[in-house]
Amino acid sequence: MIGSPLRTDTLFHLGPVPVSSAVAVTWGIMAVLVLGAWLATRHLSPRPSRTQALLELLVETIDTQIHDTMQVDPAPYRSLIGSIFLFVLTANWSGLVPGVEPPTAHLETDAALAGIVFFATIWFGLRTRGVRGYLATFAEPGWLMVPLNLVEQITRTFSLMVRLFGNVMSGVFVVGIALSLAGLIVPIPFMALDLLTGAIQAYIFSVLAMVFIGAAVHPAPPSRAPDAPAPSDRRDPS
Amino acid sequence: MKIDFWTLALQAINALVLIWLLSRVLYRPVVRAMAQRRDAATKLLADAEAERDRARQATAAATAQQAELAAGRDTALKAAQADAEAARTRLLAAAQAEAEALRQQAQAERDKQLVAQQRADEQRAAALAVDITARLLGRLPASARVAGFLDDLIASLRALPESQRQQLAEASTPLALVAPRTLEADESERCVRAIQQAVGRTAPLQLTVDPNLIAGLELRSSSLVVSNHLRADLDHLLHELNHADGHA
Repeated sequence: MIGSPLRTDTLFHLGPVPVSSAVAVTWGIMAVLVLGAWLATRHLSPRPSRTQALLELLVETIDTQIHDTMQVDPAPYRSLIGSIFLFVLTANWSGLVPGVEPPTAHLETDAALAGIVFFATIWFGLRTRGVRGYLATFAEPGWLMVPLNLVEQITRTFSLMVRLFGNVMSGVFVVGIALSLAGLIVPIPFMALDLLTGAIQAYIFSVLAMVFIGAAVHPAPPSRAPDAPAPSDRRDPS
Repeated sequence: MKIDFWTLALQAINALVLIWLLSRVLYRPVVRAMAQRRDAATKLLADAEAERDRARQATAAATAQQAELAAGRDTALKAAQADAEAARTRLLAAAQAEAEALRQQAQAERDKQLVAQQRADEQRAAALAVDITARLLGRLPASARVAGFLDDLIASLRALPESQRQQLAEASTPLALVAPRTLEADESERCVRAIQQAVGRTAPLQLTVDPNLIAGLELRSSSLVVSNHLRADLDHLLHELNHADGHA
């Protein structure tokens, strides 16, 4: 990528719908992930193979992260968080394939993912706490915070989108510039760094999604009475 | 800056479809497999627990059976020991009784042999005494085997109680005078006259010869015998000796 990162290249049209390269690559990534998952889970058995053990390790790790971050049962959130993590990771690493531009280096993909997280936060908040309970979270810790909380919903989604877009796009740019200036060998360290950055960004995106959803579904801590001691003043009776 | 909303919408749809597909083909199957293995492990643990309980029960039953067998063995051993002790006591008593019977039988046999031996010894002693006496008397004159004993016989008759002398005097059967040899005429006359005077009887005496007397005379009636001869002395002497040995 040496052109404008904000420009979308249309590959072809499906009727009136233009299909960009990001969408096509996303379809390819989806095909790889779904076919790989289908092939890997065809013959699951109580006595796991090496592949099955790897899949179970992946699922266990996702569940552990969800539970540690959100302090809730991970089952309702496993598909969303795990799929976002796998897609973002695969999309970030897809830039290593020659001729493939990561879909996450395009703002539309990151905006779509951030929008999904935004609506998932609202959905899980409403489902868990109800309309009044969820709306009450905007008035925490006080009514004066309602405007700020409303703005925060937008800004944090925007920051989620921009963070991923900026990191991946910059990595792709650096590799592209190094490749165009110095040949085949010099970009390799930048590509390794891009691997690390892609994994970190996938992890950060997933963790932030968990934090946002967790804040929406987790009950607020009880308000402290005026005469009650501060948590730091509490003494352990033991 | 221009946002391609078609791409944005397609990517959102793509992401939602991917979430749905991965939920179907990845997460649910893996979670189901893990749950099945967890259930299988739980069932296996439950089965192992049940097997362990059964093994403990079997061990307890085996221990109880072993204790029962040990108790039965002890009982049987004690019964066998009691039977053996009873049999040993019975056999010992029988052996002791048999030994006692054999000992008594041997003692009786030995006493019988001693009596027979003593009797034989007496007979040999008597025969020896008789032989010695006969040899000694053979060196004396034949008159000495009678005349020397007449006075003592008369003295014995006179020493008898009056009632016995009266029986001798009034006996209906004739008195017998026994001598070791045939008396000469004067010897018989002198002996008859002295005896008649001693007992006060006038009836004649019946003279009889008995060599067993060796030397001396003997007067016999139906109820009384008065002896004064060596055979009686020897018999008396043997009797005294045997009596003295028996006391010793």
